Amino acid sequence: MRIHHDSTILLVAGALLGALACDTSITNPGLTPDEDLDNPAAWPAIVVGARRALSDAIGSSTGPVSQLLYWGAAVTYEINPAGSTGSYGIPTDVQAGLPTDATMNGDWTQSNVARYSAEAAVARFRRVMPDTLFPKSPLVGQAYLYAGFANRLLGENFCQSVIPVVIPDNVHYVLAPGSLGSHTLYFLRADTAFSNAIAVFTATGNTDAQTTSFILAAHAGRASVRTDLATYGLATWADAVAEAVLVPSTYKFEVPYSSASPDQYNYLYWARADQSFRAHTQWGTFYEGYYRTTRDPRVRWDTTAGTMKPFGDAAVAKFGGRVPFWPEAKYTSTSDPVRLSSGWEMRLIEAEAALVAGDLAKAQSNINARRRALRADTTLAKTLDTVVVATLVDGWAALKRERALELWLEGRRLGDLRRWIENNVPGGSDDGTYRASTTDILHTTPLETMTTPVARALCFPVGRNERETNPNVP
Amino acid sequence: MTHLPWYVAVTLSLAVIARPLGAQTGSVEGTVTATATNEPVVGAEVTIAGTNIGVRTGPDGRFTLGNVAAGLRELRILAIGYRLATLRVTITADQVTRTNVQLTPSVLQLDAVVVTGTAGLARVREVGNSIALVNLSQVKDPPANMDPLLQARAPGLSVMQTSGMAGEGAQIRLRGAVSVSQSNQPIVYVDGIRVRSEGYRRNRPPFDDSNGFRGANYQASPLNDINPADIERIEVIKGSAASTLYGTEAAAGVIQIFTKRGAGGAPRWSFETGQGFAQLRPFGTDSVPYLNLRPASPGDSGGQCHVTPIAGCSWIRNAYRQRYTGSVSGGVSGAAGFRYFLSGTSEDNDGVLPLDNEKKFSTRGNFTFNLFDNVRVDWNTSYANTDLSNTPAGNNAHGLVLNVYRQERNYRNSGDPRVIDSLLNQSITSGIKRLITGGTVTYTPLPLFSNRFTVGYDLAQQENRNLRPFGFVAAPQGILNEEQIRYSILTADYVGNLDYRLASDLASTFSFGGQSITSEEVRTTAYGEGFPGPGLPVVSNAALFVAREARQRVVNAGFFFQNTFKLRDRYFLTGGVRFDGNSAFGRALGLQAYPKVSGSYVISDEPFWPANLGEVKLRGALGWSGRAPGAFDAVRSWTAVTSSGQSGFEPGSVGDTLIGPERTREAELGFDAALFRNRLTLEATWYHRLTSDALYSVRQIPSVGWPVSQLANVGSMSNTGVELSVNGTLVNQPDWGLDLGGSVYTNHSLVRDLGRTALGPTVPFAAGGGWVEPGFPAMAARGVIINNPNDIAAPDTVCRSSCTADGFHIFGPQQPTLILGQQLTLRLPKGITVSARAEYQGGAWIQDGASFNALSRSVRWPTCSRAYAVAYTGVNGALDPTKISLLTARERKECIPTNTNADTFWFPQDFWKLRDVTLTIPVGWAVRRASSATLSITAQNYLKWINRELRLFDPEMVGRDALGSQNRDIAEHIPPPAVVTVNLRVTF
Repeated sequence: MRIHHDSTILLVAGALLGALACDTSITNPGLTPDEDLDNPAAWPAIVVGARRALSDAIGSSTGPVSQLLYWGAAVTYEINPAGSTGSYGIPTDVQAGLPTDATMNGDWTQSNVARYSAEAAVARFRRVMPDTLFPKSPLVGQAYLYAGFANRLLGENFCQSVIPVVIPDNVHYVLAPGSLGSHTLYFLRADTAFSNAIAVFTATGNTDAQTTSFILAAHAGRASVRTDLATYGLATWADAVAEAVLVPSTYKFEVPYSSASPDQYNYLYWARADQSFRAHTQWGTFYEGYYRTTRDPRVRWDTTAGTMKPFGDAAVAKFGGRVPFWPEAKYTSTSDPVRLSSGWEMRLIEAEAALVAGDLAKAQSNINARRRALRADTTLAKTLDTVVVATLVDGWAALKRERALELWLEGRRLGDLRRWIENNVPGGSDDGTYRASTTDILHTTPLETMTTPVARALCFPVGRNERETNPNVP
Repeated sequence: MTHLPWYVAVTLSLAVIARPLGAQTGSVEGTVTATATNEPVVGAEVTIAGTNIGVRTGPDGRFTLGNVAAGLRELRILAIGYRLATLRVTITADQVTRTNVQLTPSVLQLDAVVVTGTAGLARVREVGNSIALVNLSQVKDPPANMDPLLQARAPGLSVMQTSGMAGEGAQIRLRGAVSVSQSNQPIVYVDGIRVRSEGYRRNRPPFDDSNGFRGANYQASPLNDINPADIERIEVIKGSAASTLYGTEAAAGVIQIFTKRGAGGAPRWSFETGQGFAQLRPFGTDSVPYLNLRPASPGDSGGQCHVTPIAGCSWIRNAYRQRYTGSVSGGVSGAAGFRYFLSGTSEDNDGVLPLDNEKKFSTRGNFTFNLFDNVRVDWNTSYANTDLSNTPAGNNAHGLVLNVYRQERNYRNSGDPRVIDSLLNQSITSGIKRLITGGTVTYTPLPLFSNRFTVGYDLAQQENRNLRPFGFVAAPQGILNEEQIRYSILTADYVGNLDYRLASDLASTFSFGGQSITSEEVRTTAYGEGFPGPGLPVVSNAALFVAREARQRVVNAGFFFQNTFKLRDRYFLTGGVRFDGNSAFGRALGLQAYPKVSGSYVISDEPFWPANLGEVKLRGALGWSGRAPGAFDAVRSWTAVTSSGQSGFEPGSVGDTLIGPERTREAELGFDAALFRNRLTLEATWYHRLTSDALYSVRQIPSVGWPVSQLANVGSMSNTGVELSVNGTLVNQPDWGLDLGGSVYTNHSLVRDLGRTALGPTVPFAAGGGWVEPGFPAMAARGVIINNPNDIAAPDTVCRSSCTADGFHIFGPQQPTLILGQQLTLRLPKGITVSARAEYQGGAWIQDGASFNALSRSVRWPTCSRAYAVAYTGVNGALDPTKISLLTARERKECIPTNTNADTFWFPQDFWKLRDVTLTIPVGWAVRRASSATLSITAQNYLKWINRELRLFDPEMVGRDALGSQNRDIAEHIPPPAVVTVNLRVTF
């Protein structure tokens, strides 16, 4: 009996151990397996993910860190550094206007995630949706739309393109590494995506406000990339204008940020929100003086912040010490969205096309349409003058300034400066640093510009991480 | 898999031959003494061979074993420092048999029993690999924490502290690092139960950006939940040659801790109190030895800044520490006997920073029941409660240390103590509750057949609370982060040993077993911002609150076979293999096999060996073990995100269905010797470790869209080195003596191959702060060299040697390549001893991130004081460009903020520290009725030398998540302080 009893104990213990020892299969919660996204219930979230990826690429407080809007603003003097160079700050190479490829790793990565997320969504929908649904699914239309804006973001900010090659595969969206190419390839790709978006949304037959808004966004996006392409001679200005005229002046399409979680904050705002960062300032920029005299609400900065916290969060080497903290006030909360396209941008596209055609009156009219609309706002403290252009050069200068004001801090300035400078578009720009050495009185002419004393970058280099991993990119 | 476990069948078939228990019993008693001195041997283990009956001798060397089955029995007596003694006694029913035993000294302890790295019990003479043994009875004054206890104890064991924060843990490495992507912290067992070895999550908000640095930025170590006062001995095996039987997770080595067990007999009470203080030693330059944390001269002190924030005040303090411990042990020996050990400890330790405090309470109950003469049950339970309060530190813009270091160019724009003091209006607290419980049933149905079944559960519950209240200067609306984390590990382990004799001189032990380790981590975080007003908030008071959850379970299970052949009890050959499955392996991967072979030869037992020459054992071992990938690495997956209130998916991990463990093969050869009548002991080991299928974090091509690097089994790397320890008794007089010891440990790692993936060859990559490229040390310090740092010239930064493919310079490894240990014991009359241990670590490089962070932000930094005087002569102290030519090359790179580059901030991290010096005085005469009493005074880390090229700080102040990582970079922390304690230990 004793033996039997001992054996029973051993049997139970051994069986327990055996059961534990042999079964190692576990499904941990938290991450979603790729195949689960084929489920129709997951499709809307795929599109939301593509939008979030675009927000992150433009600049939210998430990782991998990407701040194309922020660093583009720093390179083009839309803002000046006020301290930090690390977290939420402006690295010294960006302050100097010459970001290295290593600095751009995060931006390059996240911008490509934004493009991939949207394009992979389209590919997945094409694979898993019924053939009758794909051509008219609003989800497909949105995926195309975000693919268009992601490609435009890459084209307007990066010096070159690397577009991977699709490998036919029945299960995954498999890509082979691409090679270096012209940044304009992104514009062409965006053009196609916007065109597809328009086709799909139109095919839905829906006329609700949201669908209408998406269609307008696709037209506005297509107008903007055709503007880029037209400057490089790869599209006609007429094609750009044909899209622009479809978009009403008051229309705007934005990418959202959220106060619901710190990783969705508007990065540019958070970098100056004094918790603890006061990393950028309008002190010493063109926009500081311009806003002082015009109170143009498009380039509003906080004239009162400095009374509470007089200086940025650290000393700035190029200014020899601490600088006044006068932060931008276009974004005043963590959830402020960033515009991707607007009707007023369309009016300026029409104006630019008019200048190309030599039609000064049309250009002046379009520029002043926006100004008149702003003047109608009685809350403005000062009168915002309309512009008068007498020559083509004046017209181009006015157009460039107007785009600088209209698209201020929207991640568009670098692309504009590049296409104008590379294509010898006439008219000067208001860029530069008007720093003061001992007082906060601005110099009348900039001490630094995009070209002097050292030429600043007109685009961001492809990330070093691409060069280090992609055998096709030397 | 549902087949009948193999060991069940084996055990069942063997169990049927188990014999019934006898009913007639007697007892045996006697005294154990040493041959040379006739002094009683205290704490000797007296056991009846083939049974689980055992007892320890008392202070007078006496023992009594009751309820021993009648008949001829073999008595085995083993004590630390002596050879095994065996004798046969006849036990007569209902009678007491008396016998006395004399033990012969043995320094090598060849007959001592070890279990770590072996299947079941093995004598030291049988083991082919080196095992570091730390017997706490030989430690003069055990420190309060495990980390300093292990420091400088054995060659090959590197214990680097990570900061001076209250509660901080240490980075432990055995023979260097074994993985570039996985944790390098050794796995830890306590009384046969696998327990958590990875650091606790640092107290921080749940975000990956700089918000994630809002805390004290250090990791507490689970090892420090274990009370050194409860420990009997520690066995450390350093790599795969020895850790094969632990399988997939043991490549970084194994630390096995054995806690105290009760001795039979009347209760023995022990009490101890320790009182002391911690004091920060200088770590800055001569002009700012404490880098603004306190005035350069104590005479300038204006008191504590936290109390009275005025000019000249100090942010650091001499921090009071107190500790109280009590324990009782005893029991009844024999077949139906039991033994117990109960203990309790309470500690209250202030830190040198104003908000730092650690309160710890721990208790333990160890019980041994001899159910029958062949069935023993050991049940051990410990509970520890630790409450930590910390000062915000590290790379934390809301932190005290960073802002004090940077003075007027800090985030508050002020060096005024009143302004900085406002940052202390925050609360960073952690509570850790740790329960480790488990039992082992040892069943010996036949003297030659034993079974050991262990189950255990390690549960740690951590609460991190991080409050910046309403009105906090840098977040006026207030922020609260509350985090609850549960870590658990369930161990189930079976080992069977079957001894049999193949010939008269040839014996064999066949071992088999299985093990299952299930580890789980569940974390819920609540984060809130924006409180309506003052008061102590909860997260749900906030205008915005976010919840996060993470849970992860990993199962590792395997089984093994091993056989040891023993020829003439001096030639030993062991072969074995372990098979493992792991839930983190890819679906397409099967069981992994880890073989081992080892041999030892006790040459001094040969007839030709001169008896007076001493004892020598030669040994060698070759074995494999592994390191599992992460729980999610096998799966192509997407990450859940939100956008404007809607849920979405973003690309997560590419996944690899073939991913498996990285496999580490280690070979070692060595010898142990005790020569010249045991006055000189030598231990030497050469080792070579090769990690193949190394898990490298293969970066994905960004343009292909998946942002996160994917672990893949692609590369190989190696570590080679030697370990040598020498201990000698220089003077051995009746009244006094002098023992000196030293050790040398070298480790040279090398990345051999990066392998290739479907996308092509894996390119060199940065990971975790280090660089991985063939031909260089793993996780190398890669940066920009300044060839002419002290020349008044433009910096020459051209790489001319040790250059990477992309033109950077490899300074060297980040883990030490040379560790020299020194120890001294001076024995004086009346039992007074003075002992000291010191350690040099060298050959490694560290990045001074704190200096770079400051200098790149134009902070006035003491390393640039000459440059400021020479070239910052413009308006308001601005740089005069015409004076740049007067600066040295290094000053031009470091002291002109636009030129700063983190890549130039690599420095040698060589250091020497006097880890402890202890004066021990027996004071039994002063305490009535005490069997012994000892007063000891210990100073830890009071003296140090640091390579002058590292102009500021201390290599042991890296903080953040340093415990499992390979790299070391200095953050805005304080170094570990010196600690002085006075302890009184009394035993009744």
